[in-house]
Amino acid sequence: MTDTETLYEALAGHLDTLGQDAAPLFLAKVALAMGHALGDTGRALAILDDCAQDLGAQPDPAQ
Amino acid sequence: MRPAGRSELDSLYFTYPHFDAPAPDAPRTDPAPVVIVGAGPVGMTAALELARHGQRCVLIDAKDTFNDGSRAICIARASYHILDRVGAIAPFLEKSLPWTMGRSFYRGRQVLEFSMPDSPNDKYRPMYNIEQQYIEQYLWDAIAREPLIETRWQTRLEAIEAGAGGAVLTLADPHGRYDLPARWVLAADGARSTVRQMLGLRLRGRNFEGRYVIADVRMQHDYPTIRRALFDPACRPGGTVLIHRQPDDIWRIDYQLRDGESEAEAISEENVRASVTAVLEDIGHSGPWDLEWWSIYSANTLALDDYRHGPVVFIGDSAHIVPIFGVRGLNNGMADAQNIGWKLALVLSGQAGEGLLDSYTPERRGATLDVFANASKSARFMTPPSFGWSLMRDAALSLALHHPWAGELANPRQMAPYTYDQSPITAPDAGGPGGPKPGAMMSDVALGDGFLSDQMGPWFTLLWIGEAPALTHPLLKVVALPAEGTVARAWGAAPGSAWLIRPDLHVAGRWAKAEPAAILAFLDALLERRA
Repeated sequence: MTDTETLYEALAGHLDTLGQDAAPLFLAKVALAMGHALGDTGRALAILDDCAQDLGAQPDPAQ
Repeated sequence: MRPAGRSELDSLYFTYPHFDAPAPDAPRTDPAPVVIVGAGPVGMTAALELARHGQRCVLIDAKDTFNDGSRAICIARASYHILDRVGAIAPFLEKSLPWTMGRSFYRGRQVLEFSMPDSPNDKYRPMYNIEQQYIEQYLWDAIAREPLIETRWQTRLEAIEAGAGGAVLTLADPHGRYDLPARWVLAADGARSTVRQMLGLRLRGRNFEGRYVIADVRMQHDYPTIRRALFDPACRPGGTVLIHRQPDDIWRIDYQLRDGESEAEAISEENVRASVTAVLEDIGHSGPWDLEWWSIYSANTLALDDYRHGPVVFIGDSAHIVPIFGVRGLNNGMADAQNIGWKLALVLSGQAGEGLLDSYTPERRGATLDVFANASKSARFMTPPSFGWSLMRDAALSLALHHPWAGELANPRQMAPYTYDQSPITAPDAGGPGGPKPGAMMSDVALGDGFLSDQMGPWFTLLWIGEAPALTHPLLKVVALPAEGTVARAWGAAPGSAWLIRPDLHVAGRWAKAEPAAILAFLDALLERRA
Protein backbone atom coordinates (compact mmCIF):
# COMPACT_ATOMS: atom_id res chain seq x y z
CA MET A 1 0.00 0.00 0.00
CA THR A 2 1.24 3.44 -0.88
CA ASP A 3 1.17 5.84 2.03
CA THR A 4 -0.49 8.63 0.07
CA GLU A 5 -0.06 11.19 2.82
CA THR A 6 3.71 10.65 2.92
CA LEU A 7 3.87 11.05 -0.89
CA TYR A 8 1.73 14.17 -0.68
CA GLU A 9 4.01 15.73 1.92
CA ALA A 10 7.17 14.79 0.06
CA LEU A 11 5.88 16.35 -3.17
CA ALA A 12 4.92 19.54 -1.36
CA GLY A 13 8.36 19.67 0.24
CA HIS A 14 10.18 19.25 -3.08
CA LEU A 15 7.96 21.82 -4.79
CA ASP A 16 8.61 24.37 -2.03
CA THR A 17 12.34 23.74 -2.18
CA LEU A 18 12.53 23.91 -5.98
CA GLY A 19 10.19 26.86 -6.42
CA GLN A 20 7.65 27.69 -9.08
CA ASP A 21 10.09 27.93 -12.00
CA ALA A 22 11.43 24.42 -11.62
CA ALA A 23 8.09 22.89 -10.63
CA PRO A 24 6.83 21.94 -14.14
CA LEU A 25 10.11 20.19 -15.02
CA PHE A 26 10.17 18.42 -11.68
CA LEU A 27 6.59 17.19 -12.05
CA ALA A 28 7.21 16.11 -15.64
CA LYS A 29 10.20 14.06 -14.47
CA VAL A 30 8.13 12.57 -11.67
CA ALA A 31 5.38 11.58 -14.09
CA LEU A 32 7.78 9.91 -16.54
CA ALA A 33 9.73 8.11 -13.82
CA MET A 34 6.62 6.92 -11.98
CA GLY A 35 5.05 5.80 -15.25
CA HIS A 36 8.20 3.89 -16.06
CA ALA A 37 8.27 2.29 -12.59
CA LEU A 38 4.61 1.33 -12.93
CA GLY A 39 5.49 -0.88 -15.90
CA ASP A 40 1.97 -0.69 -17.34
CA THR A 41 1.52 1.79 -20.20
CA GLY A 42 -2.26 1.39 -20.32
CA ARG A 43 -2.67 2.20 -16.64
CA ALA A 44 -0.20 5.06 -16.86
CA LEU A 45 -2.12 6.62 -19.77
CA ALA A 46 -5.42 6.23 -17.91
CA ILE A 47 -3.91 8.03 -14.92
CA LEU A 48 -2.74 10.86 -17.21
CA ASP A 49 -6.26 11.23 -18.64
CA ASP A 50 -7.70 11.16 -15.16
CA CYS A 51 -5.31 13.82 -13.88
CA ALA A 52 -6.03 16.08 -16.88
CA GLN A 53 -9.65 16.47 -15.70
CA ASP A 54 -11.01 19.57 -13.99
CA LEU A 55 -8.02 21.76 -14.95
CA GLY A 56 -9.72 24.24 -17.27
CA ALA A 57 -9.06 22.92 -20.80
CA GLN A 58 -12.20 20.89 -21.44
CA PRO A 59 -12.04 17.90 -23.77
CA ASP A 60 -13.79 18.40 -27.11
CA PRO A 61 -17.22 16.72 -26.80
CA ALA A 62 -17.06 15.78 -30.50
CA GLN A 63 -14.03 13.55 -29.87
CA MET B 1 28.40 30.58 -48.13
CA ARG B 2 32.07 31.24 -47.56
CA PRO B 3 34.12 33.86 -45.71
CA ALA B 4 34.58 37.28 -47.27
CA GLY B 5 37.18 37.25 -50.02
CA ARG B 6 36.55 33.64 -51.03
CA SER B 7 34.26 32.61 -53.86
CA GLU B 8 31.58 29.91 -53.46
CA LEU B 9 33.94 27.31 -54.93
CA ASP B 10 37.09 28.43 -53.09
CA SER B 11 37.39 25.52 -50.67
CA LEU B 12 40.18 24.94 -48.15
CA TYR B 13 40.49 21.29 -49.13
CA PHE B 14 38.74 20.57 -52.43
CA THR B 15 39.53 21.73 -55.96
CA TYR B 16 36.36 22.06 -58.02
CA PRO B 17 36.75 20.89 -61.61
CA HIS B 18 35.45 22.91 -64.54
CA PHE B 19 33.30 21.16 -67.12
CA ASP B 20 32.88 22.53 -70.64
CA ALA B 21 29.57 22.58 -72.45
CA PRO B 22 29.22 20.12 -75.35
CA ALA B 23 31.27 21.21 -78.40
CA PRO B 24 29.43 23.47 -80.87
CA ASP B 25 29.29 20.72 -83.48
CA ALA B 26 28.38 17.86 -81.10
CA PRO B 27 25.16 16.06 -82.07
CA ARG B 28 22.41 17.12 -79.65
CA THR B 29 18.98 16.17 -80.89
CA ASP B 30 19.07 12.37 -81.36
CA PRO B 31 16.22 10.93 -79.30
CA ALA B 32 17.40 9.53 -75.96
CA PRO B 33 15.91 6.54 -74.14
CA VAL B 34 16.40 8.37 -70.83
CA VAL B 35 17.30 11.96 -69.99
CA ILE B 36 18.35 12.60 -66.40
CA VAL B 37 17.95 16.22 -65.31
CA GLY B 38 20.52 17.04 -62.62
CA ALA B 39 24.04 15.60 -62.28
CA GLY B 40 24.10 15.62 -58.49
CA PRO B 41 24.73 12.43 -56.55
CA VAL B 42 21.19 11.10 -57.14
CA GLY B 43 21.19 11.76 -60.90
CA MET B 44 24.66 10.27 -61.26
CA THR B 45 23.65 7.15 -59.29
CA ALA B 46 20.64 6.67 -61.57
CA ALA B 47 22.84 7.02 -64.67
CA LEU B 48 25.28 4.41 -63.33
CA GLU B 49 22.48 1.99 -62.42
CA LEU B 50 21.04 2.26 -65.94
CA ALA B 51 24.47 1.78 -67.47
CA ARG B 52 25.13 -1.23 -65.26
CA HIS B 53 22.13 -2.82 -66.92
CA GLY B 54 23.23 -1.84 -70.42
CA GLN B 55 21.00 1.21 -70.93
CA ARG B 56 22.08 4.55 -72.41
CA CYS B 57 21.15 7.91 -70.95
CA VAL B 58 21.85 11.61 -71.38
CA LEU B 59 22.69 13.39 -68.13
CA ILE B 60 22.28 17.16 -68.13
CA ASP B 61 23.21 19.81 -65.59
CA ALA B 62 23.05 23.59 -65.74
CA LYS B 63 26.23 24.06 -63.73
CA ASP B 64 29.83 23.78 -64.92
CA THR B 65 31.03 21.97 -61.78
CA PHE B 66 29.84 20.08 -58.71
CA ASN B 67 27.55 21.44 -55.99
CA ASP B 68 29.27 23.83 -53.60
CA GLY B 69 29.81 22.89 -49.98
CA SER B 70 29.88 19.63 -48.06
CA ARG B 71 26.06 19.31 -47.77
CA ALA B 72 25.04 15.67 -47.19
CA ILE B 73 27.88 14.05 -45.26
CA CYS B 74 26.44 10.86 -43.69
CA ILE B 75 26.19 7.91 -46.07
CA ALA B 76 24.44 4.83 -44.72
CA ARG B 77 25.35 1.17 -45.18
CA ALA B 78 22.55 0.59 -47.71
CA SER B 79 23.98 3.37 -49.89
CA TYR B 80 27.42 1.77 -49.79
CA HIS B 81 25.82 -1.37 -51.18
CA ILE B 82 24.39 0.76 -54.01
CA LEU B 83 27.82 2.27 -54.70
CA ASP B 84 29.26 -1.24 -54.61
CA ARG B 85 26.68 -2.49 -57.13
CA VAL B 86 27.41 0.35 -59.59
CA GLY B 87 31.16 -0.19 -59.33
CA ALA B 88 32.05 3.09 -57.64
CA ILE B 89 32.78 1.99 -54.07
CA ALA B 90 36.60 1.82 -53.95
CA PRO B 91 37.45 5.53 -53.52
CA PHE B 92 34.62 5.96 -51.00
CA LEU B 93 36.14 3.30 -48.75
CA GLU B 94 39.52 4.95 -49.12
CA LYS B 95 38.34 8.43 -48.15
CA SER B 96 35.35 8.23 -45.83
CA LEU B 97 35.27 7.86 -42.04
CA PRO B 98 33.17 4.91 -40.82
CA TRP B 99 31.24 5.28 -37.58
CA THR B 100 28.90 3.29 -35.39
CA MET B 101 28.29 5.40 -32.34
CA GLY B 102 26.59 8.55 -31.15
CA ARG B 103 26.69 10.44 -27.87
CA SER B 104 24.14 12.86 -26.50
CA PHE B 105 24.85 15.46 -23.83
CA TYR B 106 22.46 17.51 -21.72
CA ARG B 107 23.84 20.69 -20.22
CA GLY B 108 27.35 19.37 -20.68
CA ARG B 109 26.82 15.92 -19.20
CA GLN B 110 26.57 12.74 -21.27
CA VAL B 111 23.07 11.19 -21.12
CA LEU B 112 23.22 8.62 -23.92
CA GLU B 113 25.71 6.61 -25.91
CA PHE B 114 24.10 4.59 -28.69
CA SER B 115 25.52 2.09 -31.14
CA MET B 116 24.05 1.31 -34.51
CA PRO B 117 23.66 -2.38 -35.44
CA ASP B 118 26.93 -3.73 -36.78
CA SER B 119 28.55 -7.14 -36.93
CA PRO B 120 31.28 -9.10 -38.75
CA ASN B 121 28.46 -10.30 -41.04
CA ASP B 122 28.06 -6.78 -42.40
CA LYS B 123 30.23 -5.92 -45.37
CA TYR B 124 29.86 -2.21 -44.63
CA ARG B 125 29.67 -0.15 -41.46
CA PRO B 126 26.35 1.44 -40.49
CA MET B 127 27.47 4.95 -41.47
CA TYR B 128 30.28 6.80 -43.21
CA ASN B 129 31.10 10.49 -43.14
CA ILE B 130 32.34 12.07 -46.35
CA GLU B 131 31.83 15.51 -47.85
CA GLN B 132 29.38 15.66 -50.76
CA GLN B 133 32.04 17.06 -53.12
CA TYR B 134 33.88 13.77 -52.84
CA ILE B 135 30.65 11.82 -53.31
CA GLU B 136 30.08 13.72 -56.56
CA GLN B 137 33.74 13.44 -57.61
CA TYR B 138 33.87 9.67 -57.14
CA LEU B 139 30.55 9.09 -58.88
CA TRP B 140 31.73 11.34 -61.68
CA ASP B 141 34.96 9.34 -62.02
CA ALA B 142 32.83 6.21 -62.54
CA ILE B 143 30.62 8.03 -65.07
CA ALA B 144 33.63 9.28 -67.02
CA ARG B 145 34.64 5.62 -67.52
CA GLU B 146 31.16 4.69 -68.76
CA PRO B 147 30.50 5.04 -72.52
CA LEU B 148 26.72 4.54 -72.11
CA ILE B 149 26.36 7.84 -70.23
CA GLU B 150 26.54 11.09 -72.18
CA THR B 151 26.88 14.08 -69.84
CA ARG B 152 26.06 17.59 -70.98
CA TRP B 153 27.25 20.25 -68.54
CA GLN B 154 26.17 23.90 -68.78
CA THR B 155 22.91 22.63 -70.24
CA ARG B 156 19.78 24.19 -68.81
CA LEU B 157 16.23 22.93 -69.01
CA GLU B 158 14.05 25.66 -70.49
CA ALA B 159 10.82 23.77 -71.11
CA ILE B 160 9.41 20.27 -70.97
CA GLU B 161 6.42 18.76 -72.67
CA ALA B 162 5.35 15.39 -71.34
CA GLY B 163 2.93 13.09 -73.15
CA ALA B 164 1.92 9.47 -72.94
CA GLY B 165 4.73 8.19 -75.17
CA GLY B 166 7.57 10.35 -73.89
CA ALA B 167 8.73 13.90 -73.38
CA VAL B 168 10.42 16.65 -75.33
CA LEU B 169 12.92 18.74 -73.40
CA THR B 170 13.90 22.19 -74.62
CA LEU B 171 17.51 22.64 -73.58
CA ALA B 172 19.89 25.57 -73.81
CA ASP B 173 23.67 25.67 -73.61
CA PRO B 174 26.21 28.40 -74.51
CA HIS B 175 25.97 27.34 -78.17
CA GLY B 176 22.22 27.48 -78.56
CA ARG B 177 18.81 26.11 -77.85
CA TYR B 178 17.41 22.78 -79.04
CA ASP B 179 14.74 20.15 -78.49
CA LEU B 180 15.68 16.72 -77.23
CA PRO B 181 13.05 13.94 -77.37
CA ALA B 182 13.24 11.37 -74.58
CA ARG B 183 11.22 8.25 -73.88
CA TRP B 184 11.75 8.71 -70.13
CA VAL B 185 12.89 11.59 -67.95
CA LEU B 186 14.35 11.26 -64.47
CA ALA B 187 14.02 14.52 -62.55
CA ALA B 188 17.01 14.62 -60.21
CA ASP B 189 17.11 18.38 -60.04
CA GLY B 190 16.81 18.82 -56.32
CA ALA B 191 14.59 20.53 -53.79
CA ARG B 192 13.81 23.47 -56.10
CA SER B 193 13.22 21.13 -59.05
CA THR B 194 12.67 23.00 -62.32
CA VAL B 195 10.98 19.93 -63.82
CA ARG B 196 8.51 19.81 -60.94
CA GLN B 197 7.68 23.49 -61.31
CA MET B 198 7.34 23.28 -65.09
CA LEU B 199 4.88 20.40 -64.74
CA GLY B 200 2.91 22.38 -62.16
CA LEU B 201 3.39 19.79 -59.42
CA ARG B 202 3.67 20.72 -55.77
CA LEU B 203 5.24 19.14 -52.73
CA ARG B 204 2.84 18.70 -49.85
CA GLY B 205 3.49 18.35 -46.15
CA ARG B 206 4.61 20.56 -43.33
CA ASN B 207 7.42 22.64 -41.95
CA PHE B 208 8.80 22.29 -38.47
CA GLU B 209 9.74 25.41 -36.65
CA GLY B 210 13.38 24.47 -36.15
CA ARG B 211 15.97 26.23 -38.27
CA TYR B 212 19.61 25.24 -38.23
CA VAL B 213 22.84 26.76 -39.42
CA ILE B 214 25.38 24.21 -40.62
CA ALA B 215 29.00 25.32 -40.58
CA ASP B 216 32.16 23.48 -41.57
CA VAL B 217 35.44 24.35 -39.86
CA ARG B 218 38.92 22.99 -40.40
CA MET B 219 40.80 22.23 -37.21
CA GLN B 220 43.07 19.72 -35.54
CA HIS B 221 40.62 18.28 -33.03
CA ASP B 222 41.15 15.05 -31.17
CA TYR B 223 37.82 13.21 -31.02
CA PRO B 224 36.81 9.96 -32.71
CA THR B 225 34.20 9.76 -35.48
CA ILE B 226 31.25 9.78 -33.10
CA ARG B 227 28.18 11.93 -33.69
CA ARG B 228 27.74 14.34 -30.80
CA ALA B 229 24.42 15.98 -29.94
CA LEU B 230 24.51 18.76 -27.34
CA PHE B 231 21.12 19.57 -25.81
CA ASP B 232 20.75 22.88 -24.00
CA PRO B 233 24.52 23.49 -23.98
CA ALA B 234 26.17 26.51 -22.35
CA CYS B 235 27.10 27.82 -25.81
CA ARG B 236 23.47 27.83 -26.94
CA PRO B 237 21.03 27.79 -24.02
CA GLY B 238 17.76 26.12 -24.95
CA GLY B 239 19.11 25.03 -28.33
CA THR B 240 20.62 21.91 -29.84
CA VAL B 241 24.04 21.48 -31.45
CA LEU B 242 25.28 18.56 -33.58
CA ILE B 243 28.93 17.83 -34.29
CA HIS B 244 30.29 15.45 -36.95
CA ARG B 245 33.84 14.67 -37.98
CA GLN B 246 34.58 14.61 -41.73
CA PRO B 247 37.72 13.72 -43.68
CA ASP B 248 40.48 16.33 -44.16
CA ASP B 249 40.22 17.66 -40.58
CA ILE B 250 36.84 19.19 -41.43
CA TRP B 251 34.22 19.30 -38.68
CA ARG B 252 30.52 19.88 -39.22
CA ILE B 253 28.75 21.97 -36.61
CA ASP B 254 24.96 22.30 -36.79
CA TYR B 255 23.26 24.66 -34.39
CA GLN B 256 19.69 25.62 -33.90
CA LEU B 257 18.52 29.20 -34.25
CA ARG B 258 16.55 30.72 -31.43
CA ASP B 259 12.90 31.63 -31.93
CA GLY B 260 12.74 35.08 -33.42
CA GLU B 261 16.41 35.03 -34.43
CA SER B 262 16.60 36.47 -37.95
CA GLU B 263 17.99 34.20 -40.62
CA ALA B 264 19.72 37.03 -42.39
CA GLU B 265 21.60 37.96 -39.24
CA ALA B 266 22.31 34.37 -38.27
CA ILE B 267 24.12 33.65 -41.53
CA SER B 268 26.32 36.75 -41.45
CA GLU B 269 29.95 35.72 -41.25
CA GLU B 270 30.42 37.59 -37.99
CA ASN B 271 27.57 35.75 -36.27
CA VAL B 272 28.56 32.36 -37.65
CA ARG B 273 32.09 32.90 -36.33
CA ALA B 274 30.79 33.94 -32.91
CA SER B 275 28.46 30.92 -32.72
CA VAL B 276 31.17 28.50 -33.79
CA THR B 277 33.62 30.01 -31.29
CA ALA B 278 31.12 29.39 -28.49
CA VAL B 279 30.54 25.77 -29.55
CA LEU B 280 34.27 25.07 -29.78
CA GLU B 281 34.80 26.55 -26.31
CA ASP B 282 32.06 24.27 -25.05
CA ILE B 283 33.74 21.14 -26.41
CA GLY B 284 37.14 22.21 -25.14
CA HIS B 285 38.80 23.08 -28.43
CA SER B 286 41.22 25.93 -27.85
CA GLY B 287 43.44 25.60 -30.92
CA PRO B 288 43.17 27.55 -34.16
CA TRP B 289 40.42 26.88 -36.71
CA ASP B 290 39.42 28.07 -40.15
CA LEU B 291 35.88 28.69 -41.29
CA GLU B 292 35.29 26.70 -44.50
CA TRP B 293 31.65 26.96 -45.53
CA TRP B 294 28.18 27.42 -44.05
CA SER B 295 24.53 27.21 -44.96
CA ILE B 296 21.08 27.23 -43.36
CA TYR B 297 18.16 24.82 -43.43
CA SER B 298 14.82 24.19 -41.79
CA ALA B 299 13.32 20.85 -40.88
CA ASN B 300 10.61 20.11 -43.46
CA THR B 301 8.64 17.02 -44.35
CA LEU B 302 7.37 17.54 -47.89
CA ALA B 303 6.69 15.09 -50.71
CA LEU B 304 4.93 14.70 -54.04
CA ASP B 305 1.72 12.66 -53.96
CA ASP B 306 2.93 10.62 -56.92
CA TYR B 307 6.61 10.26 -57.81
CA ARG B 308 5.76 9.57 -61.43
CA HIS B 309 4.03 11.85 -63.88
CA GLY B 310 3.66 9.95 -67.18
CA PRO B 311 7.15 9.59 -68.65
CA VAL B 312 8.70 11.74 -65.90
CA VAL B 313 9.91 10.11 -62.69
CA PHE B 314 11.06 12.16 -59.71
CA ILE B 315 14.06 10.93 -57.72
CA GLY B 316 15.74 12.45 -54.67
CA ASP B 317 14.95 15.91 -53.28
CA SER B 318 12.76 16.78 -56.28
CA ALA B 319 10.28 14.22 -54.90
CA HIS B 320 10.77 14.64 -51.16
CA ILE B 321 12.38 16.94 -48.61
CA VAL B 322 13.14 15.46 -45.21
CA PRO B 323 14.68 16.87 -42.04
CA ILE B 324 18.38 16.15 -42.01
CA PHE B 325 18.52 14.62 -38.51
CA GLY B 326 17.55 11.28 -40.00
CA VAL B 327 20.40 11.46 -42.54
CA ARG B 328 17.85 10.25 -45.06
CA GLY B 329 17.95 12.96 -47.73
CA LEU B 330 20.76 11.74 -49.92
CA ASN B 331 20.52 8.13 -48.74
CA ASN B 332 16.88 7.92 -49.77
CA GLY B 333 17.66 9.74 -53.01
CA MET B 334 20.25 7.12 -53.90
CA ALA B 335 17.75 4.35 -53.12
CA ASP B 336 15.22 6.10 -55.41
CA ALA B 337 17.82 6.22 -58.18
CA GLN B 338 18.67 2.54 -57.87
CA ASN B 339 15.01 1.52 -57.58
CA ILE B 340 13.87 3.26 -60.76
CA GLY B 341 17.18 2.47 -62.49
CA TRP B 342 16.84 -1.30 -62.61
CA LYS B 343 13.11 -1.21 -63.29
CA LEU B 344 13.47 1.25 -66.17
CA ALA B 345 16.36 -0.80 -67.61
CA LEU B 346 14.10 -3.88 -67.70
CA VAL B 347 11.31 -1.95 -69.39
CA LEU B 348 13.65 -0.33 -71.93
CA SER B 349 15.16 -3.67 -72.90
CA GLY B 350 11.71 -5.18 -73.32
CA GLN B 351 12.24 -7.67 -70.51
CA ALA B 352 9.48 -6.24 -68.34
CA GLY B 353 6.16 -4.53 -68.88
CA GLU B 354 5.66 -0.87 -68.02
CA GLY B 355 3.47 -1.93 -65.13
CA LEU B 356 6.66 -2.75 -63.23
CA LEU B 357 7.19 1.01 -62.91
CA ASP B 358 3.94 1.32 -60.95
CA SER B 359 5.78 -0.18 -58.00
CA TYR B 360 8.18 2.77 -57.83
CA THR B 361 5.91 5.29 -56.07
CA PRO B 362 4.49 2.91 -53.44
CA GLU B 363 7.95 1.63 -52.59
CA ARG B 364 9.87 4.88 -52.54
CA ARG B 365 7.09 7.19 -51.34
CA GLY B 366 6.45 4.60 -48.65
CA ALA B 367 10.09 4.98 -47.64
CA THR B 368 9.65 8.75 -47.51
CA LEU B 369 6.56 8.54 -45.31
CA ASP B 370 8.45 6.20 -43.00
CA VAL B 371 11.25 8.77 -42.79
CA PHE B 372 8.66 11.43 -42.05
CA ALA B 373 7.31 9.43 -39.13
CA ASN B 374 10.78 8.86 -37.69
CA ALA B 375 12.08 12.30 -38.56
CA SER B 376 9.05 13.92 -36.96
CA LYS B 377 9.96 12.11 -33.75
CA SER B 378 13.58 13.19 -34.07
CA ALA B 379 12.63 16.75 -34.91
CA ARG B 380 10.29 16.96 -31.94
CA PHE B 381 13.18 15.94 -29.75
CA MET B 382 15.81 18.11 -31.43
CA THR B 383 13.59 21.15 -31.87
CA PRO B 384 10.52 20.79 -29.63
CA PRO B 385 7.69 22.69 -31.34
CA SER B 386 5.73 23.78 -28.26
CA PHE B 387 5.69 24.14 -24.49
CA GLY B 388 4.58 20.57 -23.90
CA TRP B 389 7.13 18.92 -26.17
CA SER B 390 9.85 21.15 -24.83
CA LEU B 391 9.07 20.40 -21.17
CA MET B 392 8.87 16.64 -21.72
CA ARG B 393 12.08 16.66 -23.76
CA ASP B 394 13.89 18.41 -20.91
CA ALA B 395 12.33 16.03 -18.39
CA ALA B 396 13.61 13.04 -20.38
CA LEU B 397 17.09 14.51 -20.70
CA SER B 398 17.24 15.45 -17.04
CA LEU B 399 16.16 11.92 -16.02
CA ALA B 400 18.68 10.48 -18.46
CA LEU B 401 21.53 11.91 -16.40
CA HIS B 402 20.93 9.01 -14.00
CA HIS B 403 18.55 6.64 -15.84
CA PRO B 404 19.58 5.02 -19.14
CA TRP B 405 15.96 4.13 -20.03
CA ALA B 406 15.18 7.84 -20.33
CA GLY B 407 18.25 8.40 -22.52
CA GLU B 408 16.77 6.01 -25.05
CA LEU B 409 14.20 8.70 -25.84
CA ALA B 410 17.12 10.65 -27.33
CA ASN B 411 18.18 7.75 -29.57
CA PRO B 412 17.65 8.87 -33.17
CA ARG B 413 16.99 5.30 -34.44
CA GLN B 414 17.43 6.49 -37.96
CA MET B 415 19.30 3.82 -39.80
CA ALA B 416 17.12 0.92 -40.99
CA PRO B 417 16.39 0.62 -44.72
CA TYR B 418 12.71 0.62 -45.54
CA THR B 419 10.88 -2.69 -46.02
CA TYR B 420 8.73 -2.99 -49.16
CA ASP B 421 6.33 -5.47 -47.60
CA GLN B 422 3.30 -3.56 -48.95
CA SER B 423 4.70 -3.32 -52.46
CA PRO B 424 2.65 -4.71 -55.37
CA ILE B 425 5.73 -6.69 -56.49
CA THR B 426 6.55 -8.29 -53.13
CA ALA B 427 5.31 -11.83 -52.55
CA PRO B 428 3.02 -12.24 -49.53
CA ASP B 429 4.84 -13.98 -46.69
CA ALA B 430 3.35 -17.43 -46.19
CA GLY B 431 5.24 -18.15 -42.98
CA GLY B 432 8.77 -17.98 -44.21
CA PRO B 433 11.87 -20.06 -43.63
CA GLY B 434 13.57 -17.47 -41.40
CA GLY B 435 16.12 -15.01 -42.64
CA PRO B 436 15.18 -11.69 -44.26
CA LYS B 437 11.47 -11.12 -44.79
CA PRO B 438 9.78 -10.26 -48.08
CA GLY B 439 10.39 -6.61 -48.93
CA ALA B 440 13.28 -6.23 -46.48
CA MET B 441 16.80 -5.50 -47.58
CA MET B 442 18.73 -8.76 -47.53
CA SER B 443 20.89 -9.08 -44.43
CA ASP B 444 24.48 -9.81 -45.37
CA VAL B 445 26.44 -12.83 -44.20
CA ALA B 446 30.21 -13.18 -44.02
CA LEU B 447 31.39 -16.18 -46.04
CA GLY B 448 34.91 -17.59 -46.11
CA ASP B 449 36.01 -15.51 -49.08
CA GLY B 450 33.78 -12.47 -48.92
CA PHE B 451 30.12 -11.76 -48.31
CA LEU B 452 26.83 -13.16 -49.46
CA SER B 453 26.05 -9.84 -51.18
CA ASP B 454 29.09 -10.43 -53.44
CA GLN B 455 27.36 -13.54 -54.84
CA MET B 456 24.42 -11.64 -56.31
CA GLY B 457 23.82 -11.63 -60.05
CA PRO B 458 23.19 -8.41 -61.99
CA TRP B 459 19.41 -8.95 -61.98
CA PHE B 460 17.56 -11.39 -59.74
CA THR B 461 19.25 -13.97 -57.54
CA LEU B 462 17.68 -17.08 -56.09
CA LEU B 463 19.33 -18.17 -52.86
CA TRP B 464 18.60 -21.84 -52.31
CA ILE B 465 19.51 -23.85 -49.22
CA GLY B 466 20.73 -27.32 -50.21
CA GLU B 467 21.06 -28.77 -53.67
CA ALA B 468 19.46 -26.31 -56.07
CA PRO B 469 17.11 -27.55 -58.79
CA ALA B 470 17.95 -27.04 -62.45
CA LEU B 471 16.20 -23.75 -62.98
CA THR B 472 16.95 -21.33 -65.78
CA HIS B 473 15.69 -17.86 -66.52
CA PRO B 474 17.58 -15.15 -68.45
CA LEU B 475 17.33 -12.72 -65.50
CA LEU B 476 18.04 -15.21 -62.73
CA LYS B 477 21.23 -16.36 -61.07
CA VAL B 478 20.79 -19.37 -58.81
CA VAL B 479 23.11 -19.62 -55.81
CA ALA B 480 23.04 -22.90 -53.90
CA LEU B 481 24.08 -22.61 -50.27
CA PRO B 482 25.17 -25.62 -48.19
CA ALA B 483 22.48 -27.10 -45.92
CA GLU B 484 24.75 -26.91 -42.87
CA GLY B 485 26.52 -23.76 -44.09
CA THR B 486 26.96 -20.26 -42.69
CA VAL B 487 23.86 -18.75 -44.30
CA ALA B 488 21.60 -21.67 -43.36
CA ARG B 489 22.78 -21.32 -39.74
CA ALA B 490 22.59 -17.50 -39.68
CA TRP B 491 19.03 -17.54 -41.01
CA GLY B 492 17.92 -20.73 -39.28
CA ALA B 493 16.81 -22.16 -42.63
CA ALA B 494 16.17 -25.79 -43.59
CA PRO B 495 17.08 -27.43 -46.92
CA GLY B 496 14.65 -26.43 -49.64
CA SER B 497 14.29 -22.85 -48.34
CA ALA B 498 14.69 -20.12 -50.94
CA TRP B 499 14.79 -16.33 -51.21
CA LEU B 500 14.37 -14.37 -54.41
CA ILE B 501 16.61 -11.28 -54.20
CA ARG B 502 16.02 -8.24 -56.41
CA PRO B 503 18.75 -6.22 -58.16
CA ASP B 504 18.60 -3.71 -55.26
CA LEU B 505 19.17 -6.50 -52.68
CA HIS B 506 15.60 -6.34 -51.37
CA VAL B 507 13.79 -9.65 -50.91
CA ALA B 508 11.06 -10.17 -53.53
CA GLY B 509 9.82 -13.35 -51.85
CA ARG B 510 10.81 -16.25 -49.62
CA TRP B 511 9.60 -19.81 -49.47
CA ALA B 512 10.06 -22.49 -46.80
CA LYS B 513 9.44 -25.38 -49.22
CA ALA B 514 10.28 -23.81 -52.52
CA GLU B 515 8.71 -25.03 -55.75
CA PRO B 516 10.86 -24.00 -58.74
CA ALA B 517 7.84 -23.66 -61.03
CA ALA B 518 6.04 -21.40 -58.55
CA ILE B 519 9.11 -19.17 -58.18
CA LEU B 520 9.46 -18.82 -61.94
CA ALA B 521 5.77 -18.04 -62.25
CA PHE B 522 6.10 -15.36 -59.55
CA LEU B 523 9.11 -13.82 -61.31
CA ASP B 524 7.32 -13.81 -64.65
CA ALA B 525 4.25 -12.21 -63.13
CA LEU B 526 6.45 -9.54 -61.53
CA LEU B 527 8.08 -8.78 -64.88
CA GLU B 528 5.04 -9.02 -67.07
CA ARG B 529 2.96 -6.54 -65.14
CA ARG B 530 1.14 -4.42 -67.65
CA ALA B 531 0.53 -0.74 -67.19
